[in-house]
Amino acid sequence: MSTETRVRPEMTVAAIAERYPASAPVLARHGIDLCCGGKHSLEFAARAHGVDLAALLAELEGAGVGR
Amino acid sequence: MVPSFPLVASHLGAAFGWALSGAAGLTWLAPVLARGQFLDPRVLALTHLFTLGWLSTSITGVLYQIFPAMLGIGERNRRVAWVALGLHTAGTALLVAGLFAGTRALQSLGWGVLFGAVFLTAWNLLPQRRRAPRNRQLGLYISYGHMGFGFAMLVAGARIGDAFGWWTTPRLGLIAAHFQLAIAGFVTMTAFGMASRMLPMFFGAPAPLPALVDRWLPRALGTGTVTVALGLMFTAPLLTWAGIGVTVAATALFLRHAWGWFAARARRALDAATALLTVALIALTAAVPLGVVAAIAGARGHGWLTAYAMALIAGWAGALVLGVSYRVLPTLTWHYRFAARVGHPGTPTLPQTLSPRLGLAAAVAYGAGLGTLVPSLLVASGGGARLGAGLMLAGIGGTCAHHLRMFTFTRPGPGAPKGTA
Repeated sequence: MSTETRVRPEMTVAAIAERYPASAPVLARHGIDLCCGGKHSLEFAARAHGVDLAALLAELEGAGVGR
Repeated sequence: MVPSFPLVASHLGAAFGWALSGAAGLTWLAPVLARGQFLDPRVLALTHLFTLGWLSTSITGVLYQIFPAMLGIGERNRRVAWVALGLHTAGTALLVAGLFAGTRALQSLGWGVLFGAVFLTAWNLLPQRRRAPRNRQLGLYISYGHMGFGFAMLVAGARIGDAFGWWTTPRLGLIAAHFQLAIAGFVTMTAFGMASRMLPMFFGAPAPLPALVDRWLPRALGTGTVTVALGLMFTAPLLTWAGIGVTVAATALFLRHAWGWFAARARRALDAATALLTVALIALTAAVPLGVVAAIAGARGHGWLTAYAMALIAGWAGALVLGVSYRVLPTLTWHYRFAARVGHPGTPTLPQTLSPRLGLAAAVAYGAGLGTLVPSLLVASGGGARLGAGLMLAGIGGTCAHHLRMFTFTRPGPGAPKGTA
């Protein structure tokens, strides 16, 4: 499923937030924000917050991010 | 560019020290405040402990976080930032002691040291806005805010000169103008800029502040605040009311969007950060009518004046910086302590280093305290005001305990989320 979305694990959180405003609710639900500049990749942020990366990508896609 | 953990954490640590002493002092002096003696030297000292100690130090700390994080550029010189923090702390201590003891020499010395600190911080940060790769409009709010700080300090300097007998100034008008410049011109101006970026992010609301509103909001608030201050200083009611009208309109515009972010929040249940941010919005909403009635009643309506001042200082600004600390500090602390160990066995996740129940309890205590204190000041209830201040002290103490636990975290406690980073 994750390969079908244009959001990729190596993209930075800042890039995702800027490019896809619809990602805001999904990221906020997991406590992921830009407090440190969002320079880390989505994969790193998911590890930091203990979130399953595949589930996060699916949730982003479900919210219409990257379509 | 990543913010400096020691710099931001030291500012917020110093700010929490001031907040704890301020809340303890408020618990002691609440009955004095409820009797309307807002010009009592002890109350003036306490007010500056909150504004210069807690709020200003917190805001500066958060600026050292958001310049690299949101504008993509750091301060000009790290050493100057440390010197400014030292001067700000020493200047605040001197000024508060001078106000408390009624010693003009200490007040003047404190004012001079603080002026140096504010100048250094402005030199270190404000010119960076023009070189910032993004978010320059946020830098404009911060620049306007520091102009408000500078004007507030000049008005305070005029009061100190009056105390020395160098010239004569209208006392109440100047104090009111000083308060308005400090709280609306500096704190609220900077807070509008930061909150209009942080609130949508923390609440998870997809719609940011529209560009046109973002462009005109700081200009309207700045114009309104300066007009109010001029009207108060030169006893020109028409000017004062014109300024109040513009300030209220700007605040209402911000609040309309802020409540929209709250309504569109991604997680219905509030955590410590979002609960405190909600308390801040409630306090700002309440401060608008309180301030208008206080302006109509003048010095005779001391209950309205103290309730308005408290709703803005401890409510809007205090709850806002407490709420932001629940997001800025955990993220920065986790990155500082654990980011390099990601992928190694036993590395905790960020949520494992937090204590959501303690944080929420602290937020509820702070909100309940404020909800008790402000109405108690309105009805001149000394006991109620003391109870409210005590609850606020518990809320700040709980927040300090939460953040200290994060610094000293070694392993997840029972009930913590499972897994490793």
